[in-house]
Amino acid sequence: MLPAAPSRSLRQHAASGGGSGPRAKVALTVEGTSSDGDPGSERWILAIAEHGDRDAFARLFNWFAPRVKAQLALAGAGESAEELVQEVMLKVWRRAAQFDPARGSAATWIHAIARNALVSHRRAPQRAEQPSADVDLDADLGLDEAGVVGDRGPEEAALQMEWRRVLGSALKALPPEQYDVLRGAYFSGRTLRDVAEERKVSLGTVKTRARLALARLRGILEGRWER
Amino acid sequence: MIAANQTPRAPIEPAHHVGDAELMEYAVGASDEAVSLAVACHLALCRACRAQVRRLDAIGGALLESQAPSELDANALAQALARLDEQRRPEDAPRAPDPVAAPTGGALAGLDLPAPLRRRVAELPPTRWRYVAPGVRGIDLPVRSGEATAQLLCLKPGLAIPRHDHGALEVTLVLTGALRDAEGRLARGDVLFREPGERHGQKVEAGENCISLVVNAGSFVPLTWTGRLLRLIARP
Repeated sequence: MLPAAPSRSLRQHAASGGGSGPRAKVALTVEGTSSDGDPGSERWILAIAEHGDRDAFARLFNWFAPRVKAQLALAGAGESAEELVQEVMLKVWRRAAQFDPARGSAATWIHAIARNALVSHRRAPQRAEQPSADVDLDADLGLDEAGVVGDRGPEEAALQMEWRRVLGSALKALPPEQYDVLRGAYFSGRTLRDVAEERKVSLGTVKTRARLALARLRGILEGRWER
Repeated sequence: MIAANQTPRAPIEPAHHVGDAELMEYAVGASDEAVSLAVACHLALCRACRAQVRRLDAIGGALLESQAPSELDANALAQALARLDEQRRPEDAPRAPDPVAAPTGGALAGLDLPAPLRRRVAELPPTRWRYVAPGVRGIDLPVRSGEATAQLLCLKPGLAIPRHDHGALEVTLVLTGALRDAEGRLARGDVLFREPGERHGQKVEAGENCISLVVNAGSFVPLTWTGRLLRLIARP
């Protein structure tokens, strides 16, 4: 059974929730918000898992591959970005049966696969090309694709769904300097010290901004702050 | 002696956690391999930090969706579709990697190690503790990248580790037994990040060996306390 398409509700929030008050200005400075959006990529992954649906793969590829490439390029993958995108999307195909919509959105899952590909690439850039047979290198990374060990249960699942629902708009409502630090860390895949050096601010400042951003996101989730 | 009569432990949640900044660095893939190993072991034992990492991953997902797309090579999709046939069919793929069994031989037999550590230990030949210093034995763990090293240390009950400084980041994750530190009591699953310049002393609680995963970043290992002990005691 599919959960209610989280990406759709996320989009509604972005359209209705973030559109009024002083924060609307902040939201306008956020780049890359697509108007057509992602029409239910969880479904596509499940279709791949269930009957090797190539059409679903093509749709998933068209939506995610250009975004994964953009992230990998920002993270300094350079000329390897295009090949890494192939690696990531083929892994999505191979591992589709492991995707569990109760544990996170399609975007979260693909983000984790892309991050792992980048970490592998960085740790062993000279590594011989990965054979097409599925060699599980991720176990070596100490990183897991679906968010480490899955804690399941209705409570946990409800929390995850709620978190996904509000996250898109909550991110855009962050003060710009906090949003910038998150983007810096996630898109470069570098330490907060590197993020600080790049922005010519102190490590303490970056850590504070990251902590405030996380506290704010959690606060919004738990209803302590308005979005 | 070390692993005698391990009984299943009640899942007591750790009291000392990975900090926000370090957890974020782990989640974005910025941590050194050895530091990642220590964080992954803590996560295996800590429900609260697992939940936080899933939130961090969800932030990554939301940021990915809001990312302005880059242009791909014109034939990128065609290339990917062509390569699907070489791939294992999705439904035939294993649902999850086989869990690695606990070590059955060597020094670590019977120890209840977190899964990320079991995978490392499985790569070693049958392990034996090596002498590090009086009351201290160690096993080096394989780490393939980064500057940080990882080892298991086994400390004798009651051992007092004098106040010492760190030349570089040191991460300690307790697996069995307990340590007393200025921060309080560190027991199974508790993790401590020590930045360079922080001075602290520790004492092993009586009764049980304290086995910890210890990660040292940077090249200043001789300035850490194990190194100092080595210099002061093991090589007089």
